[in-house]
Amino acid sequence: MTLSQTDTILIGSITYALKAKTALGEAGVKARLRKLQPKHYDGCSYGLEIPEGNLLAVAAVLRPLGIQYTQFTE
Amino acid sequence: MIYLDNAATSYPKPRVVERELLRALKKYPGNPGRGGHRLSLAAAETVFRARTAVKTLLHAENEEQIIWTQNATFAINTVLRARVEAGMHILLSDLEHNAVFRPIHRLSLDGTVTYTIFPHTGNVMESLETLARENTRMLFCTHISNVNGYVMPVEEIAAFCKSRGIYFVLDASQSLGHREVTVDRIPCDALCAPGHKGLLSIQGSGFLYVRSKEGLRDVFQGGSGSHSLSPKMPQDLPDLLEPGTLSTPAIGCLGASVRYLLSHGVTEAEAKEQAFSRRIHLLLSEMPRVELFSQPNTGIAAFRVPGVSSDTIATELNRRGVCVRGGYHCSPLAHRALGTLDTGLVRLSAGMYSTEKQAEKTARYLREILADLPIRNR
Repeated sequence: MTLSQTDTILIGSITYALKAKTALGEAGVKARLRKLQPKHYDGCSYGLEIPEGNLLAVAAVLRPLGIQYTQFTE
Repeated sequence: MIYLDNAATSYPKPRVVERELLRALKKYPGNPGRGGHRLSLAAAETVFRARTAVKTLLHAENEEQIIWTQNATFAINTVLRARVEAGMHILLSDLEHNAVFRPIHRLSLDGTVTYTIFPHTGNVMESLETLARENTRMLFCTHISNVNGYVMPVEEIAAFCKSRGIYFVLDASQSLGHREVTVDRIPCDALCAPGHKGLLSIQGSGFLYVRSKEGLRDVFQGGSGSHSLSPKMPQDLPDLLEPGTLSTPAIGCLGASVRYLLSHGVTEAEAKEQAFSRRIHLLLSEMPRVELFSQPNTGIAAFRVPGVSSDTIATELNRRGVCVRGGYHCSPLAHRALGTLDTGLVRLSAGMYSTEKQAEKTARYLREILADLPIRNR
């Protein structure tokens, strides 16, 4: 998985990011944990890199769990 | 050596814990939830796995309901201070450890709260009906007494609290890992537990479970690894109540020991402890000078010899290689309720690795000590 072939989602706390990673893994979506420093956010946070083209699958997994996220661009 | 002080801390620890402690130092020594490099992320993954293990053990819904603390005492202080409101009334049982009693008493000194101690004897539910006030907002109760293993009717207490809108904090320090304790069967609002007792992890591990973040405020403030440009603590759990660097080695070991318990079954630990307990209770009951204060339904046996300090007996047992605890067990309320403030009690607390043979050997030593005591105490 190289950076150009991934989408990144911003989640916030490490616990929720890892919870999302676990749930996505169980749904067959391989995600990589990343620390992020978004400009519009109030400080450090964590997110996930996922293979490009999986954002609909991500929504289907994370929304029922109440895990909030936004798409992140570098 | 025979180790019978598992109510203070468990020994020995399972091999998986020994191995995990070394792994922590070598494989995930980074600061969890702070950096983005591999050692920090490895630590964070370990901490999360441990949360999942504890969540599974408790039948909790979410990992974020598990808040790491260094022991049960810090968990109790945290939930008390996260919920306390000026003018509230608190109920606590007469079997509570100082971990519960002292923080509440301290808040009462400046008039922040008032409290009432309810008896564990008689009809507990009738006592609660009588003692609860309009401003009763919290109730603290131990599941199993650390002094004599008395089991409180915590399911009924949880139902009472729910019907009255009282926030119920369960101290599971002596029950978790010793028997099945789940938050679906005991619908408490919060549960406090150490990692180093029945859960078989190392000292420095513990946690607070909370059913909901509603009504909780931050107690300590500091770095959280998230929302770092804000002057306020993050409002999400667990970050709200988890400032500062976590003890990753202790949490990693707790994750390993809980997974070990989940795979072996808590019932295995319970069966071994009760086998020990039945044997030692039978043997103690046959000793004429021994006054028993416990029942063989948990791993704790508590007794005294009238007129003899419990620490004298504990010291003599120690000389023969048996580790037990005499004195007051940090529980003056319980000793007052039991009427044992003069001598204290000798507590034999079994663990997962205690055996009936150890019970027999301990009883043999005790007979020797009792035969010798009149001479020593002249």
